[in-house]
Amino acid sequence: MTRATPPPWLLLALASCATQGGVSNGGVNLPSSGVGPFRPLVDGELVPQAVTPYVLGDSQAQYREPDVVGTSDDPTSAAVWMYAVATVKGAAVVVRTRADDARSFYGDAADNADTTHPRHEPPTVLAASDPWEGTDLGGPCAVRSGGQVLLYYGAAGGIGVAASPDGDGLTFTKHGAPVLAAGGGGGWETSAPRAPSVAVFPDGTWHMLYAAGDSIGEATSADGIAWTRVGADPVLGPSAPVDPSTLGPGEQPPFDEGGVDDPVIAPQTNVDGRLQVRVLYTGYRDAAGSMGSAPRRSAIGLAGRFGDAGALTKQAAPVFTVQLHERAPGFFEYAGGSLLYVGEDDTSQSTTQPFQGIGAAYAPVGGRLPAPLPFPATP
Amino acid sequence: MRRGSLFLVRGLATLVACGLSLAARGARANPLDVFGFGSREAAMGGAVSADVRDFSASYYNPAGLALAHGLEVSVGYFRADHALSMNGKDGGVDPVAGMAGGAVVPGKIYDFPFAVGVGFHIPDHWLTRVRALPQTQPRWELYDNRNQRLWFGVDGAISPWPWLQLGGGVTFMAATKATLDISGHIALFSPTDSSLRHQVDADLTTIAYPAFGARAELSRQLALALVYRGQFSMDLNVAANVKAGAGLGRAGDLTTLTIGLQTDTIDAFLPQQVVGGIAWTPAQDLHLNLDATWVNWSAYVPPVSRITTQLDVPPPQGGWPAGIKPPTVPAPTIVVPIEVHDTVVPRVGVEWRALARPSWEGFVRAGYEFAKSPIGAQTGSTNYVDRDRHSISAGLGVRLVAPGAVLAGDVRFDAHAQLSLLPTSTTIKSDASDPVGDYTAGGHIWNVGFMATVGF
Repeated sequence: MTRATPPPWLLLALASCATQGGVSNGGVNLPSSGVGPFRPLVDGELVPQAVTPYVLGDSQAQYREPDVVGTSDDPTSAAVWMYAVATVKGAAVVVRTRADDARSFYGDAADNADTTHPRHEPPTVLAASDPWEGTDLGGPCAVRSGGQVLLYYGAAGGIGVAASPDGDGLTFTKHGAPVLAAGGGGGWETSAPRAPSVAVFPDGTWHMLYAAGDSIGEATSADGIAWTRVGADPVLGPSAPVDPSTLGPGEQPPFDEGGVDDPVIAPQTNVDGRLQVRVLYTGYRDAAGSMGSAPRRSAIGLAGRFGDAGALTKQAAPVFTVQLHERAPGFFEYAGGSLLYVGEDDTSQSTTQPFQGIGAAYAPVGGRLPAPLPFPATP
Repeated sequence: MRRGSLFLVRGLATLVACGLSLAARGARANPLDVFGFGSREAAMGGAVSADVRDFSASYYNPAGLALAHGLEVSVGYFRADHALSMNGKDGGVDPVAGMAGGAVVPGKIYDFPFAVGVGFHIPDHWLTRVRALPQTQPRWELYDNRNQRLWFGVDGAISPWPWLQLGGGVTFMAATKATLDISGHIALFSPTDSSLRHQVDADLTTIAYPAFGARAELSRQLALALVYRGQFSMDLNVAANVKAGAGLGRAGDLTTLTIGLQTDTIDAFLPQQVVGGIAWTPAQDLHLNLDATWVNWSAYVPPVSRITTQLDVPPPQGGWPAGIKPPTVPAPTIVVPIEVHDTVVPRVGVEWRALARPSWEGFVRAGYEFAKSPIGAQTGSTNYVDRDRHSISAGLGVRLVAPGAVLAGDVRFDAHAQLSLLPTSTTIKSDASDPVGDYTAGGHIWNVGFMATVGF
């Protein structure tokens, strides 16, 4: 029997049809706790006049300690209010500003670079007025609940609260006395409570994390007004110091061995129904007072726990660090991702003489925010 | 042939085949493990180690090549589309698609049936792909990157006795070594003012891996097979060297920056496997096959880069200007050990010659495979996502007997469809501060293809 053989050109032609190249995919829609790691905003994510990653800066006001809350319950909306501490006439007050895209804030230096409108200044919504408050306020935290806005803040004598009954978030009436006063905690509270962060858990209980000394404690409430400290110990403390001589090449000591501060509590219910309490915080490398008048080295860390009670565990590495003394985080989460706001050295005008400003970062790091919206005309 | 010579040739053939098996360090690439090789074989769930004689024997059992009746050339195409999601959102795992085929050239050495076979899988999009992700980043570990690569095998087989076939072969893969040298000037605060030159020297080095298989025909109805596939790893080693002046603007170097960066990655790792197979032919028109594959997954090395950095940045005269902080050496990568277990993958396949006419035959095929996930629960910081896989498959085949004067052999057309189901389940983290958190994962994979074979 005669056997035929296939022509070689046929095999070559068939084989050469295959490899045509393509765009690599994968790594999209990855699961995330939504709390980092974060990357600073980049060009194209802020208006062209802005200097990335700063979203609220003014060399006079020295904006810092941001807290951001959505203006509605719409999970797809990026319209937010930001409450921040500013220096006005030598005192620390709480101001309010607004952005429709969570980035272009009324009163930012870039907003005021536009001379076609009068200068925009975020209005003061809270200033020290009661004797227990001293002269300066700090650590604002706004909670929208039942049509009103509650604004918690730190002062000399502890933590206070003010209410905006009509829900506009601009006009507030103070409660009067501190809701968490100094001197009522355990021995670890070596200073008055400060930097409150409040959230309502799924069971309706109000939970507050606050800083005191070099640690973070917790209190609970049924109505957001009457608070009771939880336990005698903090829920998060600084990491144990590490002897530098024991570190290997490239290894760094814990970023928060000098103290933890400025908690931001963000509970969520996971896909399996578990309550996960996520907490962003400032971790200080250096202990308070150890750097003289120079700012302490710091970074933003992540801690958490499952359930509505108990101590927090934390990640060894920070979720955001740019070595600009970033501290006092604010957090806003919506369908488009998560935004982190921090007070940090604003080097937009001078790299050697920075002032305090508020920068923003985004997660997931591989994502990109859409083009920014214009600055709003009102705060 | 004299009886002494016959014995000598049989003995040598057996020794050579056994030697190949002992020397084997590695064998097969990944896409064929998951999606099969050839439409007939994929339709039968891959349970063909004792029942294969065409080009696909290069993958399933080289010994089967010795059963070939004549020269055969096969060409086909398959495409596997992933619908794998986490938290209900599609992860965008790329499809695996490309041409598959090969040829079998039978002959005789002395009086012993002998055959040489070649097999290939040429992907549509990438001949190979490198993807080394942080170990914390969720990824479909066994589907995202491992299957995106070229496969090419050359095998030979002999039948020293009519009841025994022995085969071995070599599979070709490629590893990468590269060096990147950068020199010039780096402007610290104005990257656009930097002027850098770079030089790349990359080599794709060939890795050849032998394989071995044996088939014993106990009777006309029953055959057994044993196949060994060794482990192999594709290494990716990249060295980058930077030596450049660093300053604040276009000119005026403050210092000379020297960085040495070495990354070592196992881009793809396939554990060794042992396949045992049974082919039972209870009737002339019916084939029932059973395979079981032991996979040594516990030796698996995940594709995580190990980075070693050397950094030398001497301070300029007078120290660093205000606002400039010299970079520091990053901490070395600490690779968290992956928890993987050996598995046994059962496969069953059936082929029924439903129609038998003088000039053509029609076949119906079906198969099932269960691949238990070898990867342990990802409760810690790593996220090597995987799930158990149930694959059901079916296919049709037509064989035209001596269809024309030119072709004295036959022409075969085969097609298959395979659905792999990965039931959704939840990964629960033990650490509440895990940046990834709890997530669900699952999905399915469709694999369809066809094959045309011409026998001369």
